Amino acid sequence: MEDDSRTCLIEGVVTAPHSLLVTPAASVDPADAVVPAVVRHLVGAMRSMPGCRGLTAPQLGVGWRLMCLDVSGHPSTRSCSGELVIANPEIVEAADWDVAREGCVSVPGLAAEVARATQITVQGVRPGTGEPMTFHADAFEARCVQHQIDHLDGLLFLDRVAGTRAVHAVRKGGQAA
Amino acid sequence: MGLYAVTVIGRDSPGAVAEVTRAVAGGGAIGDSSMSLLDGYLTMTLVVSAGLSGDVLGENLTRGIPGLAVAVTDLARPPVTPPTVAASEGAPASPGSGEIMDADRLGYALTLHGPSGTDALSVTTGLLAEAGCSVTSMTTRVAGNLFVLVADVELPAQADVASLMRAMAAALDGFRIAFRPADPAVM
Repeated sequence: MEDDSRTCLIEGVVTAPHSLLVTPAASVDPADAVVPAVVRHLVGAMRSMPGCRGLTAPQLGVGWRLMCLDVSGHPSTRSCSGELVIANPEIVEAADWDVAREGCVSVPGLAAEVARATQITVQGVRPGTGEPMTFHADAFEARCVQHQIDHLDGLLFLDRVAGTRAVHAVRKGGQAA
Repeated sequence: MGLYAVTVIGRDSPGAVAEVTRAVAGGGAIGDSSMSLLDGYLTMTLVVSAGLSGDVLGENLTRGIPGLAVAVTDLARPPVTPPTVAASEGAPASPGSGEIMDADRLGYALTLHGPSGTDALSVTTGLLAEAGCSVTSMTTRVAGNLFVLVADVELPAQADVASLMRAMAAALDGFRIAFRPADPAVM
């Protein structure tokens, strides 16, 4: 992985302002030999950051449509698929919008109220095998998935704030999605 | 009865907001107000109706909340006169009418983020003013190297939003800028 010139994994996460966070990521070939190493790094980074419920490849310096999440144990979680890694995810159905506050490990120090669908259906493929996958998510898991897919589209939660009073300074930590 | 804007700024501490509101309420009736922490400092603006003069109100508040800087501005309320056809067509809007958006103007939410330490705020508001836009609410936040601006903006009905966005993109290299329609849905 480290000697592959197509990717540039970093230690820690990319923080805003950064061009990778405002650039749509490219589709990834799930069978690419480099993908397993990126996935390991992605999941390891997510696990290593307290409060982090999801992470995408662009946040680690890789402009690929690859994301992971795990909302297990969060108090707002209803549906829970456990630890999930998806390549080229797309939301194919969305319903029932709700506003809630969210933060991001790539935007330390800020949080904002953001409207998100509370019911979604997502399609993508499994990294490695390329096997198609479809899953439904609701509540916090749905919010987390949408937050990660926004990263893959070059969007931050700041691009979706619900109003001028919706951006808040976070003194420490915050709810990272 | 006078109408005043009371601004209070100072170091934040537990119970500071309660102290301010208790002191202000002791001198008059609080109307619209806003409170925010800016870079960790407490900032409050309160519109107060009071039977006292502005000077006396200010002195009372300075004594009542000694750790905070207080300023009192007299908001000379214009006399209320019945609206006439001519006035409603040509005169400036009366106080308070700003709460309801002019039907000829379009509401947009502007979001901008990029590097901190630039003149992005003055550039943005300058371009908005040149385009005839009114800023009705605005918040900026800085977190590390990141600068974020969110504003509610009213554009003239004939405004060319695409041109405005192009001008902003050209002037603010390295910033993500988004305009979203934000007209309230009347239920």
